[in-house]
Amino acid sequence: MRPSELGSFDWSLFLAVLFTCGVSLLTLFSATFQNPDLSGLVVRQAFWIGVGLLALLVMLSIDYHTLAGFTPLLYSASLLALGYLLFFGRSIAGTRGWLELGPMNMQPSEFVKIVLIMTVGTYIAATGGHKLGWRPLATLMVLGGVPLALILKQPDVGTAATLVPVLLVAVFVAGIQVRVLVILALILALALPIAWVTYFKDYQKERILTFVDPERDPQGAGYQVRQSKIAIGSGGLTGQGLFKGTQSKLQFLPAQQTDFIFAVVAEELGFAGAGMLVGLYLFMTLRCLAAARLARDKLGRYLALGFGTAFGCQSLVNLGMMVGLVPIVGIPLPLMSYGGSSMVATLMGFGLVLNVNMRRYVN
Amino acid sequence: MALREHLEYAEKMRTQRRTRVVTVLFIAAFTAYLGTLWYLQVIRGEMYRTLASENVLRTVKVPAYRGNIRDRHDRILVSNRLAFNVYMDREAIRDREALIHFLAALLEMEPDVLRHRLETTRPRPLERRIVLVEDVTLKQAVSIEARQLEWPELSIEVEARRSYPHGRLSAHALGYVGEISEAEMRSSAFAGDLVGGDIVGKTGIERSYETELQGSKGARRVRVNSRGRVVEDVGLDRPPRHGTDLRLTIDLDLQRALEEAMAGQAGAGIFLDPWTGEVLAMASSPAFEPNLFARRFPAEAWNKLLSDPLKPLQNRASLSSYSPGSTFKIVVAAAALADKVVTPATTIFCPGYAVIYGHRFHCWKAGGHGSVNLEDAIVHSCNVYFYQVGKMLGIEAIARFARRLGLGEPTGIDLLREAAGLIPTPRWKEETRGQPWYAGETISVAIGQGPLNVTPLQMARMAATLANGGRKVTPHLVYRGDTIEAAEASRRHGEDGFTTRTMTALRRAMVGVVERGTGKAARVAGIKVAGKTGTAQYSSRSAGVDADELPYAIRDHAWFVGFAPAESPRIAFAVFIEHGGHGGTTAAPVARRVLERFFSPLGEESASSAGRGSRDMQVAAPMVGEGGPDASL
Repeated sequence: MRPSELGSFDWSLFLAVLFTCGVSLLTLFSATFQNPDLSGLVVRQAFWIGVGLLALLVMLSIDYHTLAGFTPLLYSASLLALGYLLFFGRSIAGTRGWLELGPMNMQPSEFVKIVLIMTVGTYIAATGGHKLGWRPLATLMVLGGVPLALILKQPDVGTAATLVPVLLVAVFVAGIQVRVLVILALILALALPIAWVTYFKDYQKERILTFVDPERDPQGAGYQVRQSKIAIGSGGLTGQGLFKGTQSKLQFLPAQQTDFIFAVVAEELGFAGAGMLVGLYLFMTLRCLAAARLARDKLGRYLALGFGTAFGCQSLVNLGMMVGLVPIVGIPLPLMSYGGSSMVATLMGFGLVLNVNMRRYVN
Repeated sequence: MALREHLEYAEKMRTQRRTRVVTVLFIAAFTAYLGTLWYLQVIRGEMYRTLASENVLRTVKVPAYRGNIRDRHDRILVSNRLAFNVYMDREAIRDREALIHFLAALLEMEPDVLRHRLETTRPRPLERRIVLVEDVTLKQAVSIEARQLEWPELSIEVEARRSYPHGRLSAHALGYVGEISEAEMRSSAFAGDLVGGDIVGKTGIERSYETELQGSKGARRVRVNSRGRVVEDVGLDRPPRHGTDLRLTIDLDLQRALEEAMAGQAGAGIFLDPWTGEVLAMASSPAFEPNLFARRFPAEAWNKLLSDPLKPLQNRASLSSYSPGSTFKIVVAAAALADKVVTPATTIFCPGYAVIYGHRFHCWKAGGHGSVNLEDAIVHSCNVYFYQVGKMLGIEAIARFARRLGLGEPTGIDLLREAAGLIPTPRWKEETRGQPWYAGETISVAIGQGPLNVTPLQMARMAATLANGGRKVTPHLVYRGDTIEAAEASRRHGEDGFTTRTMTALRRAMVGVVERGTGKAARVAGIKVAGKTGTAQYSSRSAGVDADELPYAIRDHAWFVGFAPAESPRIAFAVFIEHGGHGGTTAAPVARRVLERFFSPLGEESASSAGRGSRDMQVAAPMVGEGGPDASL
C-alpha cells in the first residue's frame, strides 16, 4: 500500500462497517444473555469479527487486479467445495450447506458469493466495451448458474436468491442487446410456472403462499412474521429499552440471534435505532456503488458493483422478511446476524470494495 | 485504437449511468423500508405494543374455596381440606418407565394406571402440566418433593377438596360435588368463569346452593414466555370471593339418631319443625360416601354405587314416590270432617267387608271391627269405615284434600329436583289413560291404594300441616332464622286452618294409634305422640302373609307419620321403610328413637333453637283463619 492509496481510503465506509459490527455484538448480547444455551455467542462473534477484519486487511492489501488473477482457481475450488457438500455436507436446519472443520462448521456458500462476484466482474471486464451478446451472456449464465444450482440443491434458497440479483444487476449495468433481452424475458415468463410445478418443494411453495396470506399458517412461517412484526411494532419511536424487549427476552421472537436479529434492535431501540440501522445499511450499500462509479477500470467497477448489489439485496431481503414485505427465506442480515462464515465473507467483500476504491487514482 | 477507446469511454459512461440507476433503486427500496418501519413502529406502534403485552401477560385464575356447610348449631357438616396432587411436566420426562416404576412403588399403584393416565392426557398441549395422581398422602407428597432433583418432572400442588367429616351422614341432603360436565358448562345455571376440571355441586344442597357455595375466582396476572411458562408474578388483579358458608336447619344429633335407627334398612325419614318447615333431620337409606366424589376420576366408585341393588344414590326422601297405604286414611278422615260428611261420633258397622257398587271390598281384619267411629277407625285402621266415607266424599273431595295437605305436588324444598307424586282424579285418568273413572276406584283410594303416589317428604309435610292446625309449610334445609310469626306472615292467602273440632278429633285418633292401636312401637315415655301407621301393598302376593315369610323384594312398604307432642307439636315426621312389612313394626320404632333423642334432656339442649318457635307459642292448634266458607266448619 502506498501513501497515496491510503489517502483515498474510504474511512467512512470502513467506520460504518466497524460500527455495525459493534451494534451486532451489543444486540447479540441482548438477545442471548438470558439464555444459558447461547452463552459464549458474543465472544465467538467477536472472534469472527477479528478474523474477518484480518481477511479484510488481506483483501485490501493485495491489488484487486492481482486478486482477480486467482479467480479461475477460486472458482474451481468453489465448485469442488459445493460438489463435495452435496455428498458429505453436514446438515443443519435442513440444509446440507455446512462443512465440518474440526470443532467448527463452515458455510462455503457464503464465500462462494464473493468468488462469484469476482468471477462475474473478471469475466465482464474481459468483454471490452460492447454490450453483452448471446455468447457472453450464455457464458455468464453458465458461470453463475452452476454454483447457483449447487447451492439450490443443498437446498439453500436464501443464499441462492442473493446471487441472482448479482448476476442480473451486472448484466443490466453491462448492457444487453435488445433482441436478447426480449427473448430472455419470454423464456423467464414461461419457465416460472413450470418451475412452480416441477422444481419448488411443497414447503417452499407453502412459504410463498404464506407470505401472500400470513393467516394460512399461523404457527409456522406466519407465526414468525407475526411475532417479528409485533416485536418491531412494539418498539415504537424509542423502543422498550436496551435489554428490555419482551418479545426477544421471553422467546417469542424466533431465531433472534441470527435471521431475526433486526427485530431485537427494533423492539429495544425503536424507530430511532432501527431507522438508523436501515440508514446505515443504505449508506454502506451506496458507498459500494459509489466505489463502482468511481473505479479506475471496468474490473474495479464490476467488483464493487457486484458486492454492493449482493450486500444491498441481502440486507433488503432480510429486512423485508422482518417487516413482512418478503417471504421468510433463511437468510442472515450481513454484519449483524450471528455466523462466522457470513461475517468473514462479508468483511472480505468490503475489503474488496475498499481495495477498488483506494486504488481508483493509481495508474 | 480510437474505436476501442471510444467503446471503453462509452462503456464507462453507460456503467456509471446505470450504476446510478441501481443506486436510485436502492435508495428507493431502503426509503420504502424506512416508511414501512415508521408505519409499523410509530403509526401502529400502540397496537403492536398491546399485542406484545397480550403475548406475555396472562391472567390466571385464583381458586375460590367452596363455602362450608354447618348444621343448625354451627357444627361442620361439609368443609374443605387440603389435597396433594402430583403434577407432571411431560416435557421434562427423561426415562418414562423408570419414573412410572418409582411412582407406582411409592404410591402403591398399578403401573398400568399411570401409563393409562399418561396415554389419555397425550392430546393436551405438551407445555401444560397434567395431574398425574390425585390426592396422595402428605407422606407421599413429601417423598416426591424430597426427590425433586432426581425427578424434576414431578411436582406437588395443593388444592382445596371437599371434605365430609361425617361420611355418609345426611349424604342425600348434602349431595356431592364433581367435575363440571360439558352440558353444565353450557348451561346458564352454572354462571361464572367455570372451566373444565372445575368442581361443582351435582346433587343436594351442593347443587341447589351452587352459586352461593361456589364463590367466584380471583384473577392474578403473570408474565409468561413463548412456551406459556410463568416467569414472573405481576400481581393480584382481583382477589377470589370465597363461597358463602351455609347454615342448615338440620340437627346433627337428630340426624345421627335417625340414620342409626334406619341402619340396615332401605327407606327414608324426614323430621320437620311443623311451624317453620325447617328440616331437622332428613335421611335416605342406604346412603353413599360423598367423599368418594370429591376426587376427579371416581369412575370405580360410580360403577359400584350404580350396580348396588339397594340403589344408594337414590334419594328416597324426595325423589321417589310410593303408595301411602293406610296413612292416607288421615287425609280421608280430615276431608270427611271438614266437608261434614261425618262427625266424630258417626259410627259405621264393619262386618269385615263392604259391598259397594256390587263389589265386595275386604277389611284387613277378617271378622270385622264391629261398630266404629272415626277415632276407632283410625286407631285400628279399619278399611270398611273408610270405604263408606270415601264413597260419601267422592274422589274429587279426597283429591282436593290430599292437595290441601300437600300430597301429589312438589313441597318446594330447597333441593332442585323433587318428585311430584300423584293424586288420581277422573280428569287425570281421562287424560293419561283415556278411560273414565270407575266409582270403585274411589273406594280403593279411600284406604290409600290405587294409583296414589307420594314422597316421604310430602308425607312429613302433611304431618306438619296437621300438627300446626292446617297450614302448609315449605320444608327447607337452609336456616333462615324463621320464627312462627314470620312463618305466619308468609302464609298463603286462602289457606286457612282446620277447625278445633276437626283437629281435636284427628289428634285424639292419632294419639290413640300410638297409645293403643297399630303404632304402639312409637310410644315415648312422657310424651304424647300422634301418629298413623301404613302398610302399602307392594305386590298382590303379599296379601295376608306375614312380612317375614316373604322375599324382601315383594314385601310391603311400611309407613309411620305423625307429630309430637300431640297437644303442642314441636316436631312432625314421616318414616318410610322400603319393603319393611308392617308400618307399626318397622317404621314406628325408627320414629320413636328419633323422638326419644329429640325429647331427651340432651336433645332438648341441642334442639333448643329448633323448638324455640313452638315453645314460645302456646297450643296453637287450631289455627282458625278468618276463613272462607270452604274451609271453616
